[in-house]
Amino acid sequence: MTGMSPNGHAPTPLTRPVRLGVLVSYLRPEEKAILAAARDRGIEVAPIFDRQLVIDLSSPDAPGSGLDFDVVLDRCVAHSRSGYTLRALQRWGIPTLNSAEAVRLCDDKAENSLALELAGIPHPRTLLAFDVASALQACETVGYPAVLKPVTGSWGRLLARANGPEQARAILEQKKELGSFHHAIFYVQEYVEKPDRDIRVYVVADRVLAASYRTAKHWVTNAARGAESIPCPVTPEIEDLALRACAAVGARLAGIDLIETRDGLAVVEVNTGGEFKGLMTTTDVDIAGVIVDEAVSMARVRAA
Amino acid sequence: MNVTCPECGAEWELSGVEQGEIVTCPDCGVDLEVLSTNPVSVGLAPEEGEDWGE
Ligand SMILES: [Zn+2]
Repeated sequence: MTGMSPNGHAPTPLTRPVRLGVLVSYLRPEEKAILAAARDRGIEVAPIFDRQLVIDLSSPDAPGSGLDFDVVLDRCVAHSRSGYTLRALQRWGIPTLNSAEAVRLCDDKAENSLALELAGIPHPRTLLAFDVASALQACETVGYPAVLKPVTGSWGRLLARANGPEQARAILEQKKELGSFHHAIFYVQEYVEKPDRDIRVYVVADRVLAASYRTAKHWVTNAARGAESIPCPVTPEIEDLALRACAAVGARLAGIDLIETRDGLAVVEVNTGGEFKGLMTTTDVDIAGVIVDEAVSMARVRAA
Repeated sequence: MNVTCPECGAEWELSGVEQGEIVTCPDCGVDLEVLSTNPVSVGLAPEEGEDWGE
């Protein structure tokens, strides 16, 4: 290991293998690849299943919660579970690949938009409203068609495009009926004319590893919705935007979604839990291996 | 080792999997989770929560 540890002290080498915990909800091809890459490197790696966790908030250290790791990589799909777990790990001084704060800024679309706008990154115009009437006003402001998204969750679920006020009202009323308070936070975004594809860029530690076009006939281009991945050359513009977007939320590991607008590229969102199953088929870069190497470089240094 | 889909009853050979891994039933396409590896058994994958995503 080289460089400074996250707390700024010069690290002393571990006299035993690094213990890497991978926080998961379940294992997908990405997590399997990460576990395999870690084992190949002689790292002690174990999946941490979120639903099995009992986090002892009163404990001064992590082992009491079964979280005795030098570094933890968050690959959990359940955002509230990863949020709490990462904050507990932070309290216990265990480094995580992506800080609790970066994950917070990415797991909520409104926070994500704010962070991107603050950093001056091109991003579709987005308004937030908390009531059906005001959300309709927001739709008028961005113009129709307007895109409505839930602030939490992804994979394109509950994404809706309203072509006019009647449709918008119906969608908004229906969202409100869903009950959970999250659905009454209305995230209203302008609809951007773009080709039937978007660009997924993968960044680990200030380095763009690969990019791919995701194409879909449906206007929601999302790998989880059956979009197809084909290689996309990493242009200087893609690299610059992706790295700036990562920096805007403080992410060390992220999948960045870009769209090609008439005015150039824009960032739709940054995903700290970025999936790369599609990218694994379009690039020779060993994404899982790079992620593991980055985790090792962050591993907490403590006396073995 | 053979596993049985709890949704459609299809039986097929499943190996090289880890506990907690998500697999798809080759017959009905439902997402299944590997519950144990010795012997291999599968159950329905956890239902997606509202806040789930990447
Ligand atoms: Zn089946």
